[in-house]
Amino acid sequence: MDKKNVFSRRAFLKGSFTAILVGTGTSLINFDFPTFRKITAAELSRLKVVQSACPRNCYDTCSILSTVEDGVLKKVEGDPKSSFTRGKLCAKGLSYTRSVYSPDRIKYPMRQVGRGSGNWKRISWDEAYTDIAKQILKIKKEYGTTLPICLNKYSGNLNILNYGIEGMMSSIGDTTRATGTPCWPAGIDAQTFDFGTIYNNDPEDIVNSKYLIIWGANPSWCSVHSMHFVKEAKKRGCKLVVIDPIVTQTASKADLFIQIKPSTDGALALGMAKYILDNNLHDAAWLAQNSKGAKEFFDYVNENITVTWAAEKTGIPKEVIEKLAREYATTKPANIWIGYGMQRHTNGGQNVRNIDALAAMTGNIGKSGGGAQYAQLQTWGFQYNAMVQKPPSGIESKGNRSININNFGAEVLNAAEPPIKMLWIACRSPLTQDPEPDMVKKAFEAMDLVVTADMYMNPTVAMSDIVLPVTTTFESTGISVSYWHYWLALNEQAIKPMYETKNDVTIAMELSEKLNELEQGSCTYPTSGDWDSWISKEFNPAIYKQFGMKDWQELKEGPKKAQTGLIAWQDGKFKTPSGKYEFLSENAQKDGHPVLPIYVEEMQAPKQYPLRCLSPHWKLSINSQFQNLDWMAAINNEPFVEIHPKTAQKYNINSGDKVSIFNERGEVNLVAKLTETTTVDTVVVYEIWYKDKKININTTLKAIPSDMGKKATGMPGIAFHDNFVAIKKV
Amino acid sequence: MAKKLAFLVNCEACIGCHACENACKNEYQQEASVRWRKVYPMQEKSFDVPVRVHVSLACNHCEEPACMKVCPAKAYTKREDGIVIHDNEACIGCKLCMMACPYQVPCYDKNLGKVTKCDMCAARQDDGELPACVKGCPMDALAVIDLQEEKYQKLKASLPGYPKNEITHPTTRFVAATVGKQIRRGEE
Amino acid sequence: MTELPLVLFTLLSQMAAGAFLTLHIMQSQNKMDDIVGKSIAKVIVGILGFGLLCSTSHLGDPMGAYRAISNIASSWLSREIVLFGGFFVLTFGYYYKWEDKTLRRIIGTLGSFLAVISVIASGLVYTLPARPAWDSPFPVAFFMISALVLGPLLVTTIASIKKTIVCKKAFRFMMMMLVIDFLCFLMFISMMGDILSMNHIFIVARVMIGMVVPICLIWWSLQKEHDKNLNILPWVFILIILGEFMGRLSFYQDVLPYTMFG
Repeated sequence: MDKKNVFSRRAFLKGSFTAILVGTGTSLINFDFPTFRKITAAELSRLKVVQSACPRNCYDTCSILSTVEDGVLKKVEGDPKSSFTRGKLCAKGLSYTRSVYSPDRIKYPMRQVGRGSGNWKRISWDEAYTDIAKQILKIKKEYGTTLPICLNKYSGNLNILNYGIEGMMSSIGDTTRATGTPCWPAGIDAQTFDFGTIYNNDPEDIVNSKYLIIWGANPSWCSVHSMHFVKEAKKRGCKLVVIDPIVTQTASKADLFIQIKPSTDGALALGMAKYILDNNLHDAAWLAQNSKGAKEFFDYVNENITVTWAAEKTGIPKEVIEKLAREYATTKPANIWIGYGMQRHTNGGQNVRNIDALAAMTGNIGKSGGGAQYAQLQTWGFQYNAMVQKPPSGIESKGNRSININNFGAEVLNAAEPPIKMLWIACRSPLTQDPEPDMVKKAFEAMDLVVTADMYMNPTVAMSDIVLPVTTTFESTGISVSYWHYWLALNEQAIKPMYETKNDVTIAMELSEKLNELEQGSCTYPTSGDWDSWISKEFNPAIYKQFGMKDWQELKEGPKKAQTGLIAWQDGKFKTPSGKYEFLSENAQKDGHPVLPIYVEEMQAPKQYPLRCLSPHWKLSINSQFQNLDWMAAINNEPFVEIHPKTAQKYNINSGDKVSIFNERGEVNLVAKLTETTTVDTVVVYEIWYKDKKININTTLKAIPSDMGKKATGMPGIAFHDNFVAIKKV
Repeated sequence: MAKKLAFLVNCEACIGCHACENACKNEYQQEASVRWRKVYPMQEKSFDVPVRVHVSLACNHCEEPACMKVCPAKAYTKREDGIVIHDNEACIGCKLCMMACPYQVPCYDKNLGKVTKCDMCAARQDDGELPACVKGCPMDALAVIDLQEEKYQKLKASLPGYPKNEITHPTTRFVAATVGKQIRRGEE
Repeated sequence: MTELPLVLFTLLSQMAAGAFLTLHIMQSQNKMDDIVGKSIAKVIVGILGFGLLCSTSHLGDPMGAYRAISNIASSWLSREIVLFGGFFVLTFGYYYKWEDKTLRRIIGTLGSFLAVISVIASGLVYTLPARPAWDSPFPVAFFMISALVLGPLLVTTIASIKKTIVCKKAFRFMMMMLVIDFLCFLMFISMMGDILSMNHIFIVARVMIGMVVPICLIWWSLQKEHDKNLNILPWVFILIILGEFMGRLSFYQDVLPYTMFG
């Protein structure tokens, strides 16, 4: 059979089928099978490959090559030019075409008649802007300030230009801001006290480690590209130790997996420190030159810590702790990857300080293959031109009002003088992601106007008054960097915005125009500007120097990697007040924390809710994104809870049974999956927004703050994993 | 000597991330329920300790394909290099191949009214490129090998829980996952 | 219910095959009225035709159905279609040439032979190593039993509608086939139980409705006079058809493939 003939006939068949589908006006666009013949020159002009960048809140922040044919995004692939992306994408990135062309996308602005009623009416952008602008001006007139307007924006889209959303708010006056971050603040503070700021080695440097502890992180699900470097390190003789309360996918790859009692990580670190001190395995020379407070810390350890105590606290046998301590202290270089999951406890920040101390006392800081890796913001030194705006003339800015993003519902309701009357929610879904979603819902109900800027009808949008449909990465332009690797990528616009969608900066510009139309001078946000100028204004000489470039347009050829500062603290110049690594941190003390990295007791389970419910990230989603796509639903679409067989037996639960997970806050019903990867006192429910399923594990979650976070991010974090529940068969 | 192409699935390298599944979907844009490659979890009891191990399987391009045997429309052919190809033109959508395949490989595409399956990206390979799943795996856990080569003769052809090979003699080969040491908390 | 077209095709084609065989035997032994026999021949054509139509509706590409005979070299499905195709032509001929007694006998013999091997071929289509419960004599056995239950059932029912006397032998034969069916079914679920997904309520219902009650009714009527036995036929017809339908649905739905790493 002539291969060429077969495929071109196939393409024709598919082509005519597509024509029929499009002709019937369905919104789901079906694709031609790609033509397998060699592309002719004429066809090449219809086909282009565009630089894209994934702007999600993810370690890997991939550089993407998008194939566009006749204005349609055909497929995506990882950019081989980035030595971190290595030409690969994760399951989520590879599903992007499904996201762009999903029939569920919100196509035009809509107004809901009766919040939560589902009674949506299409409105024009002009109507939407008019309604919103009128409301803003009304509030301004009634209260004499724009403080009743509250922005809740976080990390659904980390495109640098998306900080234009904050800019939009600044340009109308002082507003209330949901401040802080649910994600990682306790650890940030801890590293801020210890080092001066967060700063990790280039993850590509992991290959040089000879001992790697992945502590409370699951990169097999959350930083897939890093696992290649972990594999490479193992090939070169690195021992991989994974410390986690459950046998995660990453733990399944470990040479040694140590199952720890949740929230006691600091005790393990201190137990190891005691052993290291007892056996004189610490790096006295490095400590003498680079640290402050080592003596005070050692005194604390010697007087208060024994390995026996640590063993009892953590549930890890004494010999294991001692062996781990010896191996970590004597294998050079030794590396620790501190996960964000690990610090989502009431003592999370303090536990990070304890682990940092371990790295410092063994002299593993500032070395290739070593370190206490958490995150970095070294590559984020942009101008933030889209973000920084002046208030309107005649308005004296006293500063924005901050409320805790991690206790959003309650704090919106409690805000007074003036109260909060309007919400703008962007790049976030509080009703699926926040603790106490019932309080968040109450807060929404108390508003005069709730505006959401989003792509899909998730529960947050479903409770708003006006939804503004936004573009995907492929329909807009921007810049992306990572808080982990050191690459900078340009996101070129690949296709025209679908339906009537707009990106957040366009919304800011057009809203500004409408505000000024209704009341001249009420908004200072620029009302025009082409994308090239918006992008170029984000760059500055420091960024150019760091990335070895002269012009941002060079990024059109491919992403660029930072050329300096790839090994954290290599120059030994810590950003603490003393300029040294601080075991003894007066800054910590000023903020009400212990001055030293001592052990702070973990939260205990209440009697009536004896099971801890961990709610880690899921492999097929990033928070509320991706699981709603049909490709992901085809892989898994049944919310489930992982339970240890012995616990299940106690409650007469078999695999596949429906169980109720509940506490005084709320209840969710899930299918039980029996597994020995968890422990008898812990159940695991991955945090996922399933489209069309009213299941949200956060209904059982109190807004318990983690110990730290206020210093670097403005508010404490959330102890997501200190959630205690009971179960019963349904 | 003609090649005998086969997939090599390295479960040791695999982290069960499903990128391979969606790499295939991304390349061919099949509708949601049509999954040419699927990532299967292995049973915990297959190992000494509880671990999460996955096996990524597409078509096994069998030496004696059951699909080819039962297809009334002669829609299946096995190329000289071993790849089993399904011809959409000839297919009548009777779905007997779906019942005959021990590995549940052929998928019914209700939009086309026909069965489709993995063809090891034959056209891509003919153009000198790797299959989409092989190229897309972040851990480089998939490969296309030539079973004629000496060095692949000793590879495992089966894993615990796999349907028996004697039915169709699948060509997919495996590197089994090894398991490290675990210190787990007691079960009091 | 997704396999409804195949359920209908297999039941109807087996009914037609069994009916043809029954009709041929009965009229060879002069136990069938000529006019009634021709009616039955006509019904057989209609039932088989409708059954074949049902089978094409199962296809994703019905217009391509003609391509289904492309692989008689190795595919039992291709062979089944050729055989049933040939049998269908013969049922036509049987009806149209009914008046010609010599031709009737020749076509009847040929057709009966084709009917039997067509049903066997149908069963062999499903004798697949990939489905352990089917990889056994059971598909062929169940299909043959269906033919030998539904065939005589159709013939006796039409005969009774046409108010002719139906000989007791036909009823005794049906009762015997139902007992064989029952035993076969019991053997099947006891041997294959753990690779089937049938639930107990279904099994009891299938056996009661399709086997036990009809057997009792037929046995009871056999004790009566000839003309009294016609009353039970409508009930027996409905019960057996329902039972066969349930059984065939289960045949398609409840037979599990190999688990993948399960």
